Amino acid sequence: MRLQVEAISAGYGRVRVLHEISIAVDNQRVGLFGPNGHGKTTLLRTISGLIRPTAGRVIFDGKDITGRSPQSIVGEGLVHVPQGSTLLPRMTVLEALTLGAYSRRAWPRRRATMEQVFSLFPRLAERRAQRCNTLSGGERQMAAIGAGLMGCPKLLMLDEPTLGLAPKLRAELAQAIHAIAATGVGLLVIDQDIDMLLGLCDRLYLIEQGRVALDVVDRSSIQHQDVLKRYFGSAA
Amino acid sequence: MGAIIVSGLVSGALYALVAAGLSLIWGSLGVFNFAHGVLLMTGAYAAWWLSSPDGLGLGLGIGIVGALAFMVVLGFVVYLLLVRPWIGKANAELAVIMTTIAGSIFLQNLILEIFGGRYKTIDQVVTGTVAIGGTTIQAQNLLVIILAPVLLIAMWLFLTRNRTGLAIRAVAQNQDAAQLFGIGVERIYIATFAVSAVLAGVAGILLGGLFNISPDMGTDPLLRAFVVVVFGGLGSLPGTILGAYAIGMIEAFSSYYIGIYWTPVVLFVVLIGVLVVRPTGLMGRPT
Repeated sequence: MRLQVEAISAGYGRVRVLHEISIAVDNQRVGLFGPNGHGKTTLLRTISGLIRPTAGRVIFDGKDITGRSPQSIVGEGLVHVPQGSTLLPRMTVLEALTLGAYSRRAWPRRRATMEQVFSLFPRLAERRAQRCNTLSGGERQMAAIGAGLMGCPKLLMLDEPTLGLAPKLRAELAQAIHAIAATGVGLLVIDQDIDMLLGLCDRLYLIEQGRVALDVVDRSSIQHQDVLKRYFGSAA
Repeated sequence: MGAIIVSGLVSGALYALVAAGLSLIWGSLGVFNFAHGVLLMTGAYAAWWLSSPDGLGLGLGIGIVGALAFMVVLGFVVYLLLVRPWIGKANAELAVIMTTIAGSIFLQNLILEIFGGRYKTIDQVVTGTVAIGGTTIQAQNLLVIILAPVLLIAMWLFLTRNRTGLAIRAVAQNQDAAQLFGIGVERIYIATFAVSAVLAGVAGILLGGLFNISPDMGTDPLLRAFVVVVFGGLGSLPGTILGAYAIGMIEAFSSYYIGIYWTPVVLFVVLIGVLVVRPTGLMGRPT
């Protein structure tokens, strides 16, 4: 699995958010971090086809997927789990997970995949008949990630999976994400929890003002303090 | 008393079929299809033309199946011409009110031009009468009473079990999430219109067996369906169905005890009363 984002520019209407940004995910786990409002989410939305880039190319496994519909991009095995995940408020967990396997590639395998998702998130199995809007924040996140996994991704893009969660839940989710990575699924993760990203990823990009401000390829070369310094202006 | 309940159940069943289609489209596209009543009327005419000896004379079976197949196509055409160009644009809901009203005026007059103003009748799917609990019911009425819930349950199963049905609800609840699941929103809109048009067609054929077929036969059911949808709660299918039977019953009892001319007044008083207490309708959710 190889994702190459080459000099992508994109935005909303006349507001340009991404400025010729380039990143690569090569059979690995890649983290995106940086201040809010600087284009991380927009980058994922552009990769998954929700936003059409004004310039640049997105190449997935050798295929140019620039400007293709989200539908056909999901079909290639590139799955985006959006942020905050109100997901499908008035659907049961079971229905939401089933829909996660909507793509033609994933649909025939949906029962087997669901067993895997349930063993990864036993809580979802307990809550399967419950409506998504009655789930706790952590459970919603699990349901959203679970639905993403139902699409049989080669590369899973997660947008702030631990946002707003208590430390204990955050650790639980981080563990699950590690388990997903261990199955060989590529990961592209946005998160504010630098510790989690450092523990998970082979490569980190700091995104600032729609550009890559820092590309950390070798994890051993970077210390927590350096990142914090870069991130907040001073070591915490 | 029995006769009043039967009449209420028949109206409730028909309103439920008409309003369910309307509610489905409102739920997933966020627009009101004012051509829904004309779809109902066209379904009845299609069945009449295919089945009646004055038309093609192919018999009622082919008439019904052919009419419903035609409804799928017509639903698609209505979506393509009257709705699609405005989706995602500013004030889409207002634009679509106008385009669907325009479309329904056009279709109504087209039918009038083709088939003339004289009332038509389609054969009843079942004939004769049935005696139940001291009341004699026309078999066609009994069919309506039984068939509507069967169809609504089938629709519920479709929306909760079927891949396309689930996708219809997903698009209604969160379009971005639906797209990220790989759902083609446009295809789902077309499917929604097709299902909605078929429901209208079924209602038209059933109504055509009970009353006469005329170019304006859809106007009244559409008006009632709007009341039902608002009464039951916008976008809530269970609310719509509950609302349909409630309105049907209120109408039947009010027609008998208060009089037919006062019935619309009673209906709207009840509607206003419900909206004062629950502004989102019986089972609607706050937007």
